[in-house]
Amino acid sequence: MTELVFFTNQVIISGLVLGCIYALGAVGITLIFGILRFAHFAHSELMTGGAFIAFLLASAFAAWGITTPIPTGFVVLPIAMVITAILSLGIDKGFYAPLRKRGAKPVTLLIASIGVTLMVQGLIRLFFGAGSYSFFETETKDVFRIDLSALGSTRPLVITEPQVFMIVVTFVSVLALHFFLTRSRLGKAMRAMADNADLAQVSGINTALVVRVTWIVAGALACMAGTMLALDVTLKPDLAFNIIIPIFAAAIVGGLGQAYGAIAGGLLIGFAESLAVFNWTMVLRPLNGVLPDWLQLPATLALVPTEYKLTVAFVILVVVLLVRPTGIFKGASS
Amino acid sequence: MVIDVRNVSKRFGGLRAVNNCSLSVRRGSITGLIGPNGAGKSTLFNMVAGNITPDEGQVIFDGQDVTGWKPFELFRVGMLRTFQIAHEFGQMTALENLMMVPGDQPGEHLIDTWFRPRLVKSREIEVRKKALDVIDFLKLGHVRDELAGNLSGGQKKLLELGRTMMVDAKVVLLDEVAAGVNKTLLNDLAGNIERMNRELGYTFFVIEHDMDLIGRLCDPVIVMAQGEKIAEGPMAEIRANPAIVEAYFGTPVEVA
Amino acid sequence: MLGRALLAFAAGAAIVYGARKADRIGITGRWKTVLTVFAWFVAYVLYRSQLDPAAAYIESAVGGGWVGGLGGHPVLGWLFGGLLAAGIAYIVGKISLGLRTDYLAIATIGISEIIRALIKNMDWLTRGTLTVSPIPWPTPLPQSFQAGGMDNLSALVAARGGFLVLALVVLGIVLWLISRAYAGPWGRMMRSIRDNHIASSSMGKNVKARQLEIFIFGSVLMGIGGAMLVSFVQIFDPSSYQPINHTFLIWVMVIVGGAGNNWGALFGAVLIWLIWVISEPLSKAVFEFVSMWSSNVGWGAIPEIEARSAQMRVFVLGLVITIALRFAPKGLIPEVVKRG
Ligand SMILES: Nc1ncnc2c1ncn2[C@@H]1O[C@H](COP(=O)(O)OP(=O)(O)O)[C@@H](O)[C@H]1O
Ligand SMILES: [Mg+2]
Repeated sequence: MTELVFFTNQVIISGLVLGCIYALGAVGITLIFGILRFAHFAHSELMTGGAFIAFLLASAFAAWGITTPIPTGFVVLPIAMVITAILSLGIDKGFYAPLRKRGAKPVTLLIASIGVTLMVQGLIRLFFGAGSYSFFETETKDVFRIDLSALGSTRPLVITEPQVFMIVVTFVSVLALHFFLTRSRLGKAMRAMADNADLAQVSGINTALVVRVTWIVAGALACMAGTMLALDVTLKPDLAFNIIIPIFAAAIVGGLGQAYGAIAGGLLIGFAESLAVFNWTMVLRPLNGVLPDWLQLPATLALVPTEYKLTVAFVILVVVLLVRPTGIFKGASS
Repeated sequence: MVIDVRNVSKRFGGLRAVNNCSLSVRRGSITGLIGPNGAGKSTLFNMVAGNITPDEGQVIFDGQDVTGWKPFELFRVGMLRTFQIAHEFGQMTALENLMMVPGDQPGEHLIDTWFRPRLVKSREIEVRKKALDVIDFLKLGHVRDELAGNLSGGQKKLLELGRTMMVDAKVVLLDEVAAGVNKTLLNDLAGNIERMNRELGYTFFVIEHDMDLIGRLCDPVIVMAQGEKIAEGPMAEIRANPAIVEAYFGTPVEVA
Repeated sequence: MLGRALLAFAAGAAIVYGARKADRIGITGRWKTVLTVFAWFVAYVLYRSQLDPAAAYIESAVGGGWVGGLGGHPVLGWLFGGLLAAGIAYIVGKISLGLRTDYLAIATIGISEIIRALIKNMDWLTRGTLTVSPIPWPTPLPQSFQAGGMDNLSALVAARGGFLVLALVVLGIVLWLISRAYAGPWGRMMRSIRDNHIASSSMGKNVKARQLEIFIFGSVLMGIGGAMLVSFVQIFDPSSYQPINHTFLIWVMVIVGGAGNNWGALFGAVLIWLIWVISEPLSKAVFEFVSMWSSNVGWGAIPEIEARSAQMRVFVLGLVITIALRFAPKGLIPEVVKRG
């Protein structure tokens, strides 16, 4: 039982948390790809930027003496999401829309988005330096240790308060996104445009509006993902820049252009990373009693060493691109 | 038989562009391929020339099974083609478009370019001379140094034809070269095709909508409709066959 | 032990190869896929089981052992850098050149991160975060000029001048080689592939092999450049090679200078490098000025000016990319289309 709890802590919870963040980021990337047909590299900066906005708001709340029962980060999240959404609209207007108007190739837009990445990254570092910040300077990060000794486990199940919120919030947002895409007129228009942009245009869909809504949804979700990641670890300028390739991996695994695929892809990459570095010896140790001497388990028996954790996503990305570039759910790639 | 197409099929989604089609081209002949638009002629050419791989069936070239070969490999065994929609090199001059064709240029290998300049140079002079001859023959001298992308549709077509004249080929596939080319030049072209066929032993396989041209040049003529070969014979016979006239000449012929 | 790891690697490769050919013995479809994946897994475990002890053994040597440090001449090292890059480029190109441009960009960024992770963590091969230093110079170091009785400054200038001359010689040779190839039939063939790869293939050019060739050629130049950089700074520290200040910096140089034009690339390199190095002191000056002004007004000075100005470079780099793409998409010295 102890082993099972250990596995839950190390793989299920950590994979789920990571997966939620990847999924939220990947949904934005996949929507932008579906509607605008380019790989938006600067998505990481929307995430980091959103997290810093949330952080500023939370600090302001703390300075005004407002205390909340739940982590302040989650309270200010809606405001931060609105601001990030507006920012993403501005970035599109300033940097991508002119290139699109000129009919630039997708790869040109990709490079432009790398330019935007550098600019935002530079600005963030300019104002916040290169150090790291924590949302929990004035409040405490509650850690729930659920005692499972009744079930015969010597270890408790460990989960932090932000992690619980994160899983719930992601679940709710995914549900909301689902209803938006399937029930609302705009959401349906978005899906139609992702399927076939030309057809959507002639059938009277207001494509400019769809583009704006795409940026709003993508920006808001990016802010959510970034803030939650910062709540789980710490906030630093390269917070999301380091995980943008795993997020792309999630979007590509799910099939670029497919919102549900991106969510599945995010969870898949999250679990794959946690599972790949999981130390199987911890679970299989009881076997040492029955195994012969020459086959004793080594101290660490992981698929890949911990320092290669992020590399797992890169490998999945490259393999999927080579074996099945349309993604495992058959994306709308054109 | 220099080309032997055996039971070849190609589907695009639900559409059977070429359907279990078999035909062959005799060595030394000028064989025509006619049929209404969308009959699958260009698709068949693409499969013979290696630009697309058939779903089923085989292509035999010169006694060798070449199914699935790449276009450049077929080029090396002597099969050249033109494209229905001109595939010129738009950012290169007309002359360069021709000069890039010959395959055995030492200057295409880095080591020779760097360390055997004299060899590269002498070959380059030959290639240039040959290209100038072809340009003159096609009466494109005035646009020799113009970017191919800026040429007119007819001129691009001529340039495509010119590329096939840059090397000694066994078989040349021409996909609607005449479309957009003026009458006098067309006469010259036809004369030249006949001459290359008679004197140099080239085999031509020609898709054309201009029935007079087909009648003058080609024997035999193969008729395709809906992805299948429906008839083969001399032009006079084809014209006399009511079923074919129904299938083909009965419908207005668009020249595309 | 490394030998055994190599053997294990070969055995693994054989297993995978065997699995991929399994259709010969009648295993096809889904089972073949399963078998191939399983073979990859077995091969990986086999390789790891042999490599790990070997790596641990090498690393356990006094002072952090590794396999390098052969003591050859630095210029030999540069050439080897080019060779190594060619080998890596061959593998990378083989697996990814078939992809569409934007997928290709993402795939190569992903692959480069994998390679970076390997270099950073394979201590036995590269010493990883332990870094390798000092790396010798091919030309005399400042210290040896000082030993000859020069004062510090002129020794530095003389030594760096020597390195610069050598670097310029390398640059000159490379430019000569490229210009020569580009102006001749090789360049004509490459341009034809770029213009219309379908027609080029029908005109007998082996498009895939040629794309691989030019990819490898570019990588060799980059490998030599990297090797020269490492010997110039005298320290090899894998973790200091971030995409921001290397990959993207070089992209910007090409985009701003003019893709497809060697003089454009050269001009872009010098210009962007200038921007890169002056944006820091320049922004420092601006900050100090603003800081002075704001403390006069009573808002207080800007804290940590040094650290902040260092970050301005990244911002300026991004700004230059976006401006260049928007207002000079062909670069400052665009490609000249040859006539006649
Ligand atoms: N690449 C393609 N993808 C989808 N459909 C195609 C493609 N190429 C040809 N077709 C279709 O196949 C049919 C045969 O085309 P084609 O071979 O060009 O006919 P033809 O040359 O006889 O006019 C047409 O209906 C055409 O629309
Ligand atoms: Mg056709």
